[in-house]
Amino acid sequence: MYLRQLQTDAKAVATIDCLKSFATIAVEKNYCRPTLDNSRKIELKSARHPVIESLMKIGEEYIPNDITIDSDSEQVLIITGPNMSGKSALLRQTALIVLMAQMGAFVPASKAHIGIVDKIFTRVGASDNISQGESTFMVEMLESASILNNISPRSLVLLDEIGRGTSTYDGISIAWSMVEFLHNFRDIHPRTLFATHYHELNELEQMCQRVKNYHVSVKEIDNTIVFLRKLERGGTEHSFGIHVARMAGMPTSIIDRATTILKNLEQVYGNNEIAPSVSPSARKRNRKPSPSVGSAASSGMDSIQLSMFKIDDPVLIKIRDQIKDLDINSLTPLQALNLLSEIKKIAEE
Amino acid sequence: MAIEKKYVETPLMKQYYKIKAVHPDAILLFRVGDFYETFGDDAIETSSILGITLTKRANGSASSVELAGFPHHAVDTYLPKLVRAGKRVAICEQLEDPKTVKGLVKRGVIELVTPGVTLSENLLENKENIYLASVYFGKEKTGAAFLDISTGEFFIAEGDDKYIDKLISSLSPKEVVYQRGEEERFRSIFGNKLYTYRLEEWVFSYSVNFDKLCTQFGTSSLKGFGVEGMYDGITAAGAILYYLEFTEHKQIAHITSISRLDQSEYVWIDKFTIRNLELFSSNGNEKSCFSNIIDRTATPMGGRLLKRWIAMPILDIKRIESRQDVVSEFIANTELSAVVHEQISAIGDIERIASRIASLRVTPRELVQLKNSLYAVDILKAALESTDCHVLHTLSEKIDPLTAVRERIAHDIFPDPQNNQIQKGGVIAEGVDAELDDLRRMALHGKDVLQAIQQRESEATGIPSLKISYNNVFGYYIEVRNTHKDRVPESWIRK
Repeated sequence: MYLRQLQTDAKAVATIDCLKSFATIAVEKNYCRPTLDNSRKIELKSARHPVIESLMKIGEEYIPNDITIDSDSEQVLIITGPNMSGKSALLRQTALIVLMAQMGAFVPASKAHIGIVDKIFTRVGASDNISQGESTFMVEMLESASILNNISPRSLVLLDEIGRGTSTYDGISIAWSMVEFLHNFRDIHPRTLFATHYHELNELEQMCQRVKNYHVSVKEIDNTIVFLRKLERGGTEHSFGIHVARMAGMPTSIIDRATTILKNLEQVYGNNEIAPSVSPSARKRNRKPSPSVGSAASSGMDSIQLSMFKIDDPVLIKIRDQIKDLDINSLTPLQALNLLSEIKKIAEE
Repeated sequence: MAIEKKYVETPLMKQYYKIKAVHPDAILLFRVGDFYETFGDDAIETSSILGITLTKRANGSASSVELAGFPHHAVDTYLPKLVRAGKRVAICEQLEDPKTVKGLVKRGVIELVTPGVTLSENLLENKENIYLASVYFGKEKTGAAFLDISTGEFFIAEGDDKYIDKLISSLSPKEVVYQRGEEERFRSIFGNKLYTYRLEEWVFSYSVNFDKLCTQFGTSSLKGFGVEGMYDGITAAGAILYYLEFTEHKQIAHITSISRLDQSEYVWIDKFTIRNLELFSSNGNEKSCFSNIIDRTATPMGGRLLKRWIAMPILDIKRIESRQDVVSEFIANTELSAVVHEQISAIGDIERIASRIASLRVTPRELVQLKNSLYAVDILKAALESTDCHVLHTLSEKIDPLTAVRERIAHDIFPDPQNNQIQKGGVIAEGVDAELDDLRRMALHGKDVLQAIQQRESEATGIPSLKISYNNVFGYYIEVRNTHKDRVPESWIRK
């Protein structure tokens, strides 16, 4: 019948149209033909993000990056770098390039070699899903759980700031154990990119054979930072959060205060040493004793926020209890003032 | 029904409630003369969705019913709004000509439009498939089927709940039907964001549905489609055909085959990843999403296929490489590339036109578009044949430019029809039908025809001053002066 043939024609035209579309954009944006095989490698040279690249204004240039992932040697890449440095873009471009390659399209890179991927998982920490009534952290964990239950040897796993949705210690611990799981679980060894601003995770490289540290480079010039957006080998020490705050236009007084607090914290806890107690390498190393971290670690590290000052002074305990028992919602402004004056009295005693 | 008793019933309202009782969960657009009317709760809902006036209709002295309506020609504007608001809309037409019938005109529902089953042009995005999905929870596996009635594409799949969930997020159907009684399981797997409709359990019978599919495809088994033995998938697919009957979509000859979506052929991309990679929308914005940025397709069906390729990348290296070979050929052979581009740009949405032909809704302009497209397909086929690329050869062998269809359209229909509705005329070409040509000549050249008659009669009767005139009482008449009355033939009537 004519109808059936017409549908066949439509399909053939659609196929040609799609392939022509691949060719057009490949010429337009200078894409390359990827090679594919059954290995468990991904090797990209001068890879770009197809969407960000297209949306850039004239004169701006997308910084291409090289990346190699290999289930047998460079299985888990831990990518540290400050916020806004382009970690997320790097993760996504890798996934998109794999996807494009397996659609049969050319890809935004100068050279690409891809061992077939059968599942792509991406998870972003603390994505907003409040409307559904689940806490952001719960969502993050639900999503992550579904990866860990479904990974295959040919999977590509991209984790972006997993653990961000909870307190620092919780976050680091969860991120840490997820990396260990992805690295050690049976012989699955899925290719994994893990972007995080917890530079503590860099210690994993010494413990896990196929974990490699990378960072997105940043230059600090006169207290401001310049994003170079280049992926380089090795970890980072700073997360440059305060610099980003400065760039965002936070009042100078807050930036100065934050800088002071950061310095204090680094003195108390030691820079880059808030590693979980499960880390043997951390345990081996002789660290400055820091009671607060120690107790946190021994109590299983559940939901301990960084405390600003130590509470063992009975006066402070009294004040704390007073504040704790407050029901702010039922306070009138007058009562609040009275309470404040009471607290002041306790402090002056 | 409770509503029925509330109102005093006129014959018209009785007819209304009888039809409404068949489609209680749909808004019933009830054709009355030149208007589509809605009554009662439907009217309240319709008036608020469409922003039209809600009035009351008195039915006897004591009671009244809410009423909201719009002129019938506005249906193309209002129907999509109702459907987009997530409503099912039953269109009830007058099935008889009111002029020829005494008393109440017979009425019936001619189409039930739902978010997943629609052929209305205004509801279709060119580059987007509108899938209706069906899910069947079998003993061991879960079956699913997807149909785009506007293109005739029909898919079947089977697997665990997770796989079906993944397919649903890849193809994002506008509506999903499933068994009544499985609400809890359905919601726990697929969430509550889908538009769903529950069908009775008996709709999901394997043997009945197997036969339904065979009848639809005109085959005695389903072996030819490679889906034999997919019990749960077939059960789900048959339910889709049942649902089409249920929604009064009976012209479905364009659903000619079903293809299988095999888990082992495609890359697994779950819904979080589709969202995180911003494949089809980026924070609700479709412009800067991946599919839109890389889309350089020229035809609507190319655009739709591209979306599917993005959602379902493949695993087979040979297949990937054969696609790459074509891309390389297009890049290397600029001459071929230019021809292909030119011809493809001239091809319209022949896939949807095919469906509109089957559902007897095709318009004259669509047919002309089909003709022009087939010309382009012909040149395209020749261009593909002339290359050295093996894959393109295979593709070109599949193409048949349907010269006979094309010539028939070229012969029968004006290249630029005056109207897009055949009733309004100016569609069928000259020389196709002698009677039509004759009538047209009269309509267009009335004066000449009258002149010719006047001359003919003047010569026949020998009355030189004979005239043909017109007035509102008699219409056209022949005027003869008194002096010549003797020459008037007997067959003429004197007024």
